[in-house]
Amino acid sequence: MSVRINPDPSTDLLAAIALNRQAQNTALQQLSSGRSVNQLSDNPAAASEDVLNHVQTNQDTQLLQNLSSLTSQGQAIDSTLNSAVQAVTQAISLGVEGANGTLSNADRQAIAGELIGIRDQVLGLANQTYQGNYVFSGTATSTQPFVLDNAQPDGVKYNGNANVNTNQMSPGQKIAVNLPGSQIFTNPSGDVLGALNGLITAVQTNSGLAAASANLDKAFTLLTTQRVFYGNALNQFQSAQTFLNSDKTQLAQQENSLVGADLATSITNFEQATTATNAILNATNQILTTLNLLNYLK
Amino acid sequence: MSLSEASASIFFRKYSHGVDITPAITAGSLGGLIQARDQTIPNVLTQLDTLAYNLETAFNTQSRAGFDANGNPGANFFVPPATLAGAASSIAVAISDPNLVAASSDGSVGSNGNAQALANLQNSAIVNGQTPFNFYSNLAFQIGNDVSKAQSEQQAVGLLQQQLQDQRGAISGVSLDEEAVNLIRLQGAYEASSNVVNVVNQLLTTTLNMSVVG
Repeated sequence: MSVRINPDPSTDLLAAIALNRQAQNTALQQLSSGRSVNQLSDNPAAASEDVLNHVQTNQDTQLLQNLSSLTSQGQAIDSTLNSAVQAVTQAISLGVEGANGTLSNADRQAIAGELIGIRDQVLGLANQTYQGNYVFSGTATSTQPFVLDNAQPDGVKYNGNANVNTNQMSPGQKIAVNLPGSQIFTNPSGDVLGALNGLITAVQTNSGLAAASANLDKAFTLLTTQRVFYGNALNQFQSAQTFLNSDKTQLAQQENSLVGADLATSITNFEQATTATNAILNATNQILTTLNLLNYLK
Repeated sequence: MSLSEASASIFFRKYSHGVDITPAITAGSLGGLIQARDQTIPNVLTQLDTLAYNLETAFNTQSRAGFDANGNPGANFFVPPATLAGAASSIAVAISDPNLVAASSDGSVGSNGNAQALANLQNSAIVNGQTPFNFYSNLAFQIGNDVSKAQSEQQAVGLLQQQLQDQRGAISGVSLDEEAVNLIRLQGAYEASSNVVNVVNQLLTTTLNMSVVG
């Protein structure tokens, strides 16, 4: 006895058409978006990984923005310290000139005047601001760090603090990004502003010139040493930027492998689904219009 | 059967003789919608609330440990959530002045110590032993997995239903070919029967004529 088949194939045909339409739509969506995961349910594991990928990418982007700002600020500070180094170099030359025993008092007063100008220039550099914030006042960036104060032994008062900010360069890597002005300009191991004040007094009074010049030499050495800190920091900023840009590239590649659509596969899937749909439509047409025995007997 | 508006005001609960039969509806479209309303969606909302509540609480705690740009002790950054339930939908920033962000750790305006600590919360296990991003990532996986599983089950049940419909159609469906064959067979039987009747009729007629002649 033959197996009796369902004489009404319409529901099977409709289900097959719906299934292929769905495959067509999926392939089209992948082609238009370039992504194989357009909803969480498309690939929950990949979508979950993609969330963390975006987090890391956004963190990298933010760190790069921070580094860009820090680099600009670091360059400005480095330039300021370079000007200070040049000014102190000029002051050292004036000190040597002032130590010349053949100078008249008027000549020495003229040199002292030049030294006062240099001291004020260095003081201005020590009070440098960047985007409205004092850069040599530790973390007290709204407070002018240095003012002349005769009550102080070195003639300068530091109003900033000794605190240091750190910044994250890349995930897990932090470095200090500033030096308090007291370490640079009024450091007990080399007091730039104090040494300049001492040299001015020595030239004006024509006494203790050798000691004052030695102090300034010592302060100059310390100043150049401290300047290296910002040079190193700028190098680290650059290295971190390179690393972060590379990390972002890798994350983009990872995202592409996680949720990116293989366009060749999507096109093939779309064409297969289209071919299958057309075949089913043709089959439907033929099945539903096939002669049955009643029609044949007419 | 009476209908009554449910708590969500979207669905209706069916009553039969005054008995709430909603729990008995576990299958079909209605069962799926009820399950989504009463179990799946509330579970996701609870997890979102957990994420928001813990994030807000940790952020506020760290914010209060710092100082704002005016040198004052830090205040809450978020409006503190009253309860865990509804924490996500009611999340709101408590301050509007950027100078009130507690970025400083030492009270000076240029310190970024507390800002670093606030940023580090993203890598701290502050939400049920997980970082906020890991928690959210797992939630995304769970939602996607739930939907994917439901779609797979729907597809499997659909195929089963289709097979059953085919089986039923194979048994009870009307085949025009079969009906035509039956018609032909019945028509043949009818014609044979009519021939028998015709023969009997002729036999009777002949018999009657013989008696008349005799």
